[in-house]
Amino acid sequence: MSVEPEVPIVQVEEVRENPVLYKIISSDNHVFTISEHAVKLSKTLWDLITNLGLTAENALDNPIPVENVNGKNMETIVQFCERHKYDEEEPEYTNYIREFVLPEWDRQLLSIDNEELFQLILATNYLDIQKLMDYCCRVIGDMAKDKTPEELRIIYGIPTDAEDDALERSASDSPGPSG
Amino acid sequence: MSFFLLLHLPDSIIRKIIHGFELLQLLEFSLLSNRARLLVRSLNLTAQFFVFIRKDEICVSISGGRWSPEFSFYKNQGVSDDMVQREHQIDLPRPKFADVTICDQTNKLYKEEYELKNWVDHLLSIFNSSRIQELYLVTDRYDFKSLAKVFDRVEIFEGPRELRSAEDFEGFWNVSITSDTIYIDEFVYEGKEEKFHKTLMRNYKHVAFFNPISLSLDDLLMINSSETTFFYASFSTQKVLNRFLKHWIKGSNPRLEAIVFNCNFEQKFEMDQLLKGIDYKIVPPDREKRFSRLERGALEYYTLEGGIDIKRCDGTFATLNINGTEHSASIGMYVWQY
Repeated sequence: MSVEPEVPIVQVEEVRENPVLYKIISSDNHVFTISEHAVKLSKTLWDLITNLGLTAENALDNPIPVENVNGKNMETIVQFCERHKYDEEEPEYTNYIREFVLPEWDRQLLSIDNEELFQLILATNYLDIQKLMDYCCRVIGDMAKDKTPEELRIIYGIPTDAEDDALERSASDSPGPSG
Repeated sequence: MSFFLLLHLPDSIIRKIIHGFELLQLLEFSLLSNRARLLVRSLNLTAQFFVFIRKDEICVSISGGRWSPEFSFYKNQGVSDDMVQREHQIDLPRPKFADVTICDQTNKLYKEEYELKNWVDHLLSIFNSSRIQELYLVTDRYDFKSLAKVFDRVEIFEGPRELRSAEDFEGFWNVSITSDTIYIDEFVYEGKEEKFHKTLMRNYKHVAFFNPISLSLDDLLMINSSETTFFYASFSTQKVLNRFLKHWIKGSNPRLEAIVFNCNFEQKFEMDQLLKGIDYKIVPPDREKRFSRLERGALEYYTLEGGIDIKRCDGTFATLNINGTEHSASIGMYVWQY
């Protein structure tokens, strides 16, 4: 019978938690605090932090303004990033987005009305958060499931060719800025 | 029903979303509008197209990396069976729908205003293909002129199983005229010499005749394709081939790169007769020479060991590869390209 060596048990979370925190200000002046691990999920924010030379010492004194994202979306984004900050890096689901299972927690988070979802995906695109982008795309793609073509047209608001032509004509007929 | 303004998103995001669609959804989406079609096209899906013109359907089989859908038009659409009984060729009517089979599941796709050509062009467009790789014509049910208009970009044309009349062959000619390669499965020579010669004179990349055919020297001298294969050729005498080789040496058939005959002779096959009066050189088997040829549209390389070299008046060499038995022989002539 082997005897287990006596070693101190260290909780992984304890090792990980001693976070460097950053402050983000949304377009409508809401302030959010986000940990370093979480903010790294956003390539845009992390590039900004790196370029601004923010460190553990000065991070909280230098809030980062994000003028393209409102408070509501930022709240969702911060929640998402904090939730997934310790996830292992996954391959980009560029071609086979259907192959992953959307976790229930995330499905709940993204159960918002379509206008909000629209704004959220634009914010996600701006902040370059790959995983949230994959998840949003999945939720939007799932809207097409088991739908007839006419339902697809309505769900995605796709104009007919005639409507597109009419729009184009009216756009070209309307006077320009000088006119 | 609430809606999501998909097309107001940046194209890069739309592409990501629709890339997650199942193929059927993607096809349905592409049919919604021209912009939707262009978005699907921008996914850069690629595929090869194979078309089968059958009596009861026109089938477009698409072979892609991720998907292999098959589209069927006219099947069970009540397309004028009475016309077939009257032995009339029918124009291609506007399909009522397309049956698409994906992984053994068949669904119907509708686009009322689409003629068959619109369907084919739509599919070529969304799979970023400029042409159909292979078209097999196994019936003369449909009007050939209509077929030629629909399938105007074909790489390999194969057919037909049966031609009823000289008019049929004219039609067949019309369909095949835009392809690079033509494989002729069944062909009745008698009475259609003129059409046959037209086929030989076209500058195809590759022409292959799969049925028995009797060839004269005139036939051979009309060959203008780069590669020609006769799977069951017969000649009145071996002199026909001998004279063909002599004409080539003097400069005939300048486009010829390869010609292969599997042939039968009434008399006993004799190499001396074949090469009589020709200046040739027997090459030892340890000389290996590499050639290329088209095999179903794809360039394939192969090596000839030994053979018999002959030389044209302009200095161009060709190697003959001959495997003869008592009354038959396989004769290949391969022109050096360098």
